[in-house]
Amino acid sequence: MKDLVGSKAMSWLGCHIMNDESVVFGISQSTHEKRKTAYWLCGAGIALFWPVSVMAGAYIGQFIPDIKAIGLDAVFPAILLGLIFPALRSRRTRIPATSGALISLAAVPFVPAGMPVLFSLLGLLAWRNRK
Amino acid sequence: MTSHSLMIAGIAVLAAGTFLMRVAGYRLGSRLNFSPATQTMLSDAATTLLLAVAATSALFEGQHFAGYARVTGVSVALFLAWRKAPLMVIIIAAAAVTALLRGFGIQ
Repeated sequence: MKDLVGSKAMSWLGCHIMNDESVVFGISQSTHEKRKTAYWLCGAGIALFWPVSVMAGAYIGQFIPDIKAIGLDAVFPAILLGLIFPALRSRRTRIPATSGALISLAAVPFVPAGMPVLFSLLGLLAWRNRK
Repeated sequence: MTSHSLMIAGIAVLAAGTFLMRVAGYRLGSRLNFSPATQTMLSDAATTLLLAVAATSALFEGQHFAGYARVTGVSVALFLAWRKAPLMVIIIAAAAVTALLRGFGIQ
């Protein structure tokens, strides 16, 4: 991580473009040069295209009468599952993650929105350092 | 007018807060030395949080059940992820199954 963001003045900008995607692309490269290039390219790309896409989406969204009719509400959990599924193949991750998710689901009726997810960290009590 | 400037102020505060949290995380992270075991646990913690977000948003809308259409769509996505389908296929299938079920009147 440290080498991706850069030093001194650059690190302020480097922190600004720090997000899930830029970090993932950055840390998955083989050489130091490639890591840095991937981080900055991905980060700058998102900094540019994210706001542009949001504005485009707000405009196009007017023409979609009901997002539920085309099943868009199922897309968000689907993307999350697709992205984290490879990690869930290891027992070390799967056991605490599924326990945590079950605890969160059980908490939903009792606590305000947004809180149940935090309860999932209790699942880490089942974490053991194994393969 | 007041609610407008209040909103802009809110956005500015959130932006500053988010940025500071990132810088703080980076500064702190480059000072602390975690053992490899702690590092893997922290990365598993991130996965745990994300799975919890996925599970609650698949099954609930606020505090109410999200309906069978969405749950079935997300289940199909889960199955496809297990079968190592490409992300694009997973996304489109989830939306298509959910939309289809709603088209048939199943909420």
